[in-house]
Amino acid sequence: MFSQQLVNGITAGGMYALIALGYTMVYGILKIINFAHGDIFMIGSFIGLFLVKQIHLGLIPAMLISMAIVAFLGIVVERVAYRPLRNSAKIAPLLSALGVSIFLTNFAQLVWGTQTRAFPSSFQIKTFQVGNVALSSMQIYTLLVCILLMVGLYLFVQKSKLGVAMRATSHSVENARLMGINVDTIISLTFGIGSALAAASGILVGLYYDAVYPVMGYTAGLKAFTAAVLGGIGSIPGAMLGGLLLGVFENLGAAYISMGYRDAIAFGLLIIILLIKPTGLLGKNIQQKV
Amino acid sequence: MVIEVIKKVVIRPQTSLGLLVVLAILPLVIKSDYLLHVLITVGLYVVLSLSLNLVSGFTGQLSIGHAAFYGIGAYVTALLMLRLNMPYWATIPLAGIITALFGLILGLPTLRLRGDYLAIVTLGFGEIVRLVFLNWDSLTRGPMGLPGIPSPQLGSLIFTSKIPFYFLILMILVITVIFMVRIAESEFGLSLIAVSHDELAAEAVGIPTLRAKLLAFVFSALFAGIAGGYYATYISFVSPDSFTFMDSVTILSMVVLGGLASIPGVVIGAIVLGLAPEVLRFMADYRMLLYGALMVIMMIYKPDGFWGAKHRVRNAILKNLEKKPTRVKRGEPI
Amino acid sequence: MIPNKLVEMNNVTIQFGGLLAIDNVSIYAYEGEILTIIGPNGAGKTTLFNILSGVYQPTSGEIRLKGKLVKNLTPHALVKKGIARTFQNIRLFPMLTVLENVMLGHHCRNKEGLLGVLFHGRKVNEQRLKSINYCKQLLGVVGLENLLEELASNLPYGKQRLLEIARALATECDVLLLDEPAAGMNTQERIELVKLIRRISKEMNKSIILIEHDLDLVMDISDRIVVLDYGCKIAEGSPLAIQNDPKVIEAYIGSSDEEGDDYAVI
Repeated sequence: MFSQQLVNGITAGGMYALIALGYTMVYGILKIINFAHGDIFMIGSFIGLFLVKQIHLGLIPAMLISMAIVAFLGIVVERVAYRPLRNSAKIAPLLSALGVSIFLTNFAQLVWGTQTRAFPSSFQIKTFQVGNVALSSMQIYTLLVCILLMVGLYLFVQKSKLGVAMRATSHSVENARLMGINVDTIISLTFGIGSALAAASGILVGLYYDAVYPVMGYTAGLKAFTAAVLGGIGSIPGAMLGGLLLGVFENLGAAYISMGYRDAIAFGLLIIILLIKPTGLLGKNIQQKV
Repeated sequence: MVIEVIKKVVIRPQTSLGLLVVLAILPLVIKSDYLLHVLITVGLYVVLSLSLNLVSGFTGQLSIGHAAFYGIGAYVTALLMLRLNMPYWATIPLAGIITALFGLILGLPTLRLRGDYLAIVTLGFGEIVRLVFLNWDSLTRGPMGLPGIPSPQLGSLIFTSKIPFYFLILMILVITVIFMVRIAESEFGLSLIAVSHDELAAEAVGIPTLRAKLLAFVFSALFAGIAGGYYATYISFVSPDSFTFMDSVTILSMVVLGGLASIPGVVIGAIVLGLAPEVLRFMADYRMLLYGALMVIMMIYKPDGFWGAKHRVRNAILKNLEKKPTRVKRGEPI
Repeated sequence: MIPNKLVEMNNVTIQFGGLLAIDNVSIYAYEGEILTIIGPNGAGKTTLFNILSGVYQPTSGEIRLKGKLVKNLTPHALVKKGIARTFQNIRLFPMLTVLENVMLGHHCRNKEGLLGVLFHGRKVNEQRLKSINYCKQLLGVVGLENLLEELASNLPYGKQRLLEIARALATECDVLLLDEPAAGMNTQERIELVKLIRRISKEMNKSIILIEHDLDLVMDISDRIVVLDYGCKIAEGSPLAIQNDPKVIEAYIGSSDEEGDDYAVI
């Protein structure tokens, strides 16, 4: 039972981590919480579903195209709703983000309806028995995609020139600008990458839980945010670790405490971390200057 | 120019008094139950957004879980009336106080947190409260909700039509407005604004910032709880669906679009956004889409809201003091 | 008669990570005395103020107000005990009026309570009148009595500094910490400021601790001077003694390659 929940938790956690990366990368640079991120994840899921069902694409090309479209959407959202507010009071971008979130949710409801949809079963799901743990091929694929994307992101951020520029910007926007980095491009790039990862996660979640619906971004977004905070918001490895931990906690909590309170456990955890260690597990301490 | 004139008119006590008279005779003119219902709903929104304004407007602490307090008040009233057969009037203070206690429990540890973290904590709290309503079957009947909440009774008058309900919410509203104006015109109110501007400077002039935030939070919860109690007896049914994230966002939008820390602004915001769903009914499904877009547009072009704090009356604290220095003032309109 | 030591700081040390920002510093100020702290940039002057006003807790050492030990107090609690400050980069409440800013300083002496606010009766009214008059009086002291309705953000720089001093005084403090009060002021304003500080110290009998870079002003106004360098107290004495102290000259000249005389910029 325990190891089964552990495996399920890790699978869910991988998907949370992909969404959490978007929160953490944006926060790292702009210090704002992108409330619309959960809805971007949802749109990614719907576009994937559309491509598979209507255009009859395979899962992998559908995922890639959805990631590209949603990356573009993320960039547009930043341009329209956040960039004009970069120098205004903190409350403004937050509310603007809420506005975008409401807009996207209702847009999805108008276009795709409010009912829950499912991906057509395009491949045979096999189940392997390892000891007393049942491991489905779905879980293996999901984890593989998550690992692949995260390793890719890690290499990009650590090794590529743009990745270095991104880290420099998250360190200090001002200094980065002085070093000749085009900060606006980097911010767009950050939104693009974060959104693409969320789209990938959206399709994985849709496949894994067999459900795609307009408000799916709300809970998933909130949980991914919890994961980002747990790992230390602003830290990329932190988001990965936070996602996995949250997935595991939540599944164990649901199994041993109560299914109905599964989400409440995640949110309770969020509040507790913020109170005890708001910088999270891998976050940096920020000294306030007087 | 126009704004200056409006400003002069708005702050006159005669204006409020006149408005009150109009509101009092309105139900004699309006015969439609539907219109009365809309007015009652708007009244409830005014109370809710004024209560949130204390925290998010004056004190500058963003809260996206206000519907949780509203819900707690509603459930407390519903349960007291259904399970203990208490009369509505007796549940008012209890709903207020119990909700305020929840505000205290949430606020005490969390109000140390910086802006957006606090926003997230309140959001999480709102979700947890809703999940408890949903899952605590033995007490709340879960998703089925609590139906059959009795109407208030005043002597031999049982509130069956909308008219007594209208007057009840009007009364709650007037009391709320009076209290809010008194706070705004006091040193305590100024200290809340100080906290929202610069916490360190506020500390440095001797304002106990944590205590100020907590007081604002608790007081805000108290009013939301009373509004919730009213909702329970008015609709006579409560369920977890009435106190969701979207409800919190709606209340917050009223405060922000109206004008943070501005009492007339927040009232306008609540009226405009409260009426919007009715006025925009023909747009049906596009309504919320528009709402979201409007929020973004307002933040970009008019972040101060319809009637922002920049229109606030300067040195309002002097208002009631200099003309009649030592007269006792109680309960008259503002 | 021996004057009272209103504030004492004994052997205070504060460490941030590996950095020793203040190293075993002791200072004190008598009633009615003007003590100035000088030193090159980064010497730890503002840090010292932050310790005195409770923003930072010292790693070791003690602080006494009127002989009584104060420990682990938040800034607002220290204000209530009688220590108030201004900031190097003015921190007024910009959207509030001049009068409202000062009233907030006086707020910590106010006992109207939330119920008083909600049901304000005669007592509250009387108290408010009293406190408003008190604040107006203080604004008269700093010369802003004609600007009661003006927003703090609309004042010119020099007046903002004066308003911040009035706001600090309104807390009814015994000890007033002024962090570079003359920064950004013109010559005329500086002369007025010196008069004002003297008046606060000698007529109102408050201890004033001052951080200031304008050495002419410092020599003119101070009763006593403490010199800090790299977090250590390197000299203490009358203005005359300090001017001739070789250690002080070395600290200032020695650091002039990095700092130059451009301290006024910061």
